Amino acid sequence: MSHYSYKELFKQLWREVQNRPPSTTADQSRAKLLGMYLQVRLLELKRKPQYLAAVLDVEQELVDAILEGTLPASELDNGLLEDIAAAVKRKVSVLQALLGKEAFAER
Amino acid sequence: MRKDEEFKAAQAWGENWLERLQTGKDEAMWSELFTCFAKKLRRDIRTSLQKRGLDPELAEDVEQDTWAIVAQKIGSFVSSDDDHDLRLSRLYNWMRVIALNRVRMIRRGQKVEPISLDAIEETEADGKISLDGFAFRHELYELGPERKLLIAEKVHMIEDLLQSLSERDREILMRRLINNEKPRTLAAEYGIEPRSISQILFRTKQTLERQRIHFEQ
Repeated sequence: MSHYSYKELFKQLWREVQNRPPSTTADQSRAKLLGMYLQVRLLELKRKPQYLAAVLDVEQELVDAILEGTLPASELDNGLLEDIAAAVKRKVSVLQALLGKEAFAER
Repeated sequence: MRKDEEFKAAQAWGENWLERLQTGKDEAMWSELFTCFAKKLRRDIRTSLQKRGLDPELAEDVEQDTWAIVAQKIGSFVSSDDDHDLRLSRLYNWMRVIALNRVRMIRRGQKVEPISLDAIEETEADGKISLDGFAFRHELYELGPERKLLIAEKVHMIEDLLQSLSERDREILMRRLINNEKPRTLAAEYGIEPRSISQILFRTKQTLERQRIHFEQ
């Protein structure tokens, strides 16, 4: 059993709600674009989403959220993009560009 | 159809619960959401950590991060379903994948060999080595001139933030991030409650995250 309380956790959550910056559905348009691109890429590779889950070693629901573009765009970090890029055999800079992120130097 | 106990309380939420979460700072509604999902989310996080061979103690960090992201990003959650149960189920699934993604980040981060605190202390000069250790631990050191420039800016940003912390808070943050020392261990050493360690970490991590987003924009 965890040693930290739900009461304390809720206090932290409520502080975060009070300080949150405006966030709208428009924030997700780039994530949806990336998701659509990956769906097409998997089709080209004749692979199923389960392949991506296995390669990334993550739960299927997480991959589904990436492909549907519902995972918050802020959570699509460069580490995840690098792993996905390797799995779909594309440069990470392509995925970063789809998300509107500045591409880092190629590895 | 969902049958979990946790969801039953949500039957009385009414029709506009999502709008209340998204548009208003409605403490009662957030409290309802938290009461409904917190235990289930904690269980799911611990299961995911255990499945990946990670320390279940890390659930605390994942849970705090997940709720913070939910609070920040609830405005971007979309569900076109009219059905109350389906919308609720989708919201929980959205929260769950945020948590699962956080577990993935931890696992990916742990692939880097942690630097021992002893090694850091032996060579430490004005905290410089500790900061290098932090950057290395988080895979900030890469090749390429553009990447190097970005890293240098990030390190400066982190330095500024660290300087704004008290010596104790700075030490706790570094020991937790670099050496993966458990909150319970740190709490015992510093003679404070484990939840105080959590609060320090939560506060400083959120500040870092906000500065990181600001920096990347």
